[in-house]
Amino acid sequence: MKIKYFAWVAEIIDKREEEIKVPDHVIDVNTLINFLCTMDESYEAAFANRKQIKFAINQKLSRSNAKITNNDEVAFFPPMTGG
Amino acid sequence: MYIDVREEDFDVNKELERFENSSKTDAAISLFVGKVRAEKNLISLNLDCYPDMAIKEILNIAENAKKKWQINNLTVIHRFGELLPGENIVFVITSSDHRTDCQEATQYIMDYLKNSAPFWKKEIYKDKSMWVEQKVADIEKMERWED
Repeated sequence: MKIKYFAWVAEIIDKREEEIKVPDHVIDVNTLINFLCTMDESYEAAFANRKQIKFAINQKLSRSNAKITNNDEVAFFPPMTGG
Repeated sequence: MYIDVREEDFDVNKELERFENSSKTDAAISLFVGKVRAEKNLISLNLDCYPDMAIKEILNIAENAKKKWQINNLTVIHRFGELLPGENIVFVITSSDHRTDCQEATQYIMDYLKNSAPFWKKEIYKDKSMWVEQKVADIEKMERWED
């Protein structure tokens, strides 16, 4: 699974992108966050307040219970401030 | 329709001329240019961006605007990277047969770009830097367009 991070989420995790083969129990964004938080404490820090994090699956904003597989691209980021 | 997400600056006059040349029969044109505020002590505004998603999202916003108003032509250019005070950030232009359509469509596109296009602004000052937070007032402006 390709995972991308943006803005302060990328700064805290100190990565902009990574490729991870996630285990079978990772079926949606919620379970992916739980899995990432077991990898390193920087993920725990980034996801400490999950309400502040938005996510996209294959470049589309998604709900946390939307299903994901290892073939998907998942992105995590704060609320957008474009324009 | 032309949509571009890029680091390089754009020339407002050239973009307007290009747009006018492809919208010759339209009676009304509405243009908005967003620039980096020339704020005291601000060194730069750094825009992080998810380009693949930004193109899709801006296209989606533009298609929705075309469903709501009678728009004949449309261009959106949004920059990312390190931008200096006074530099251009965003260019939105729409054309239509009547002014209300393009005026409202341009506002609509800007209101959605602010809150739903994947860009994140970071203000860099001499002694500190901070990520800009999404504003409730901006969300309210966007929500007023919801049916």
